[in-house]
Amino acid sequence: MAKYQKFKDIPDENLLEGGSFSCAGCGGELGLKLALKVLGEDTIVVNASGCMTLLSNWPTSPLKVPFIHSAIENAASTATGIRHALKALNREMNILCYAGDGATYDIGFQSLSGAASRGDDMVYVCYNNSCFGNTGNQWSTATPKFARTTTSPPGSESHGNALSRKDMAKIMGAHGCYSATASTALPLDFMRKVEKARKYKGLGFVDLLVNCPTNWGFEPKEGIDIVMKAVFTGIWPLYEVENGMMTINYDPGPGKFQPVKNFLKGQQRFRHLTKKDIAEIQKDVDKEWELYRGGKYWQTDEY
Amino acid sequence: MTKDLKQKYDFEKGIPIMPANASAKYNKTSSWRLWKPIIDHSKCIKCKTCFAYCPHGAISWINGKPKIDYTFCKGCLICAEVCPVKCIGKEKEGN
Repeated sequence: MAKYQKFKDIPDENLLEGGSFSCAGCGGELGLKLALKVLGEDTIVVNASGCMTLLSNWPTSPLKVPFIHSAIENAASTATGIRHALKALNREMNILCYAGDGATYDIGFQSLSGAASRGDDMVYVCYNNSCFGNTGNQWSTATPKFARTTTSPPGSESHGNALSRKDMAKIMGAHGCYSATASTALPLDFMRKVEKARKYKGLGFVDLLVNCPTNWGFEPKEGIDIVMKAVFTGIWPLYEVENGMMTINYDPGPGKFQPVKNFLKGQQRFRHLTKKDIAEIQKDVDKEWELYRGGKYWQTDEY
Repeated sequence: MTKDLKQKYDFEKGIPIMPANASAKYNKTSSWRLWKPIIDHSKCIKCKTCFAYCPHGAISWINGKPKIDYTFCKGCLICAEVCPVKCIGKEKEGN
């Protein structure tokens, strides 16, 4: 049986202690805490510039493991270098790349793609808050349709972001490595996926949807609920790709998902939506799930 | 703060030594808090849910019980929201 079936299986020791400078209710920090619980003390964390860079500023660090800052575009290359240095030293350690969605989907994609193709052994977790959060909510390719960002503001001519989001976990799955999506609302599911990525020889990629109260616009306490609704409305599909085969982790059946309105209504970034916009998002989600249920996982051009 | 930490700089190797828990020692983020979560231990079923969801490592699990470290708790109240038996209450700060 797989590890981490109940909350009671979570180890007692916290490798991420208090005293960090992230916002109250930050999902990215929650993700790092959970990932470190799986990987343990023998881990090096490589971070691409982003919100989590604020955690560890010399001379203080809330982490009990080594933490390396890299530029926003080369977190995966830095991890590759560390892996080779460890090989030269004859040491076995886990390497966790913890980068935001801007550093994964957009700017750092070339280094990640290279590391995945070479099959460098690391765990890559993308904490995805669907925008460049640290610099003040700019648009990234992870931003969902019609979301408000500072570079895609809604107004008389525009309804926020006009483009659909990129499905990164599928792209990483097409590299032939282990790839999965997860969310902070389901920590055990995320921990099981990190454990799988750790055991996988090669790059294991986990795309983690995190709650971001500052940029999405909600009370910090509602964060877990909102990310849970992203899963329960079908907007954020949970799946794993292993050896090119995709497994859907959560699917209640046709017509049994909650309406997407439940996810959209609690957030300020979707406050400008009209009924027509919501119907369009619902149509896109329904179409996507039709493809999943028909076994056509890779035909992304159809929606 | 930096004075006593500067002595931990390794001048021979040219690398700073970053002590674990340095943040926990110097950055007291409790002043961010508007609401203070309080656990009612008589109702607690020790399910570890709050411990799993606390984003800031402010809840520790000591002797089979949750304990909130109020020096670091930022008052996001996620713990109160996810608790299955709703045994975590809140209190306005500064009273």
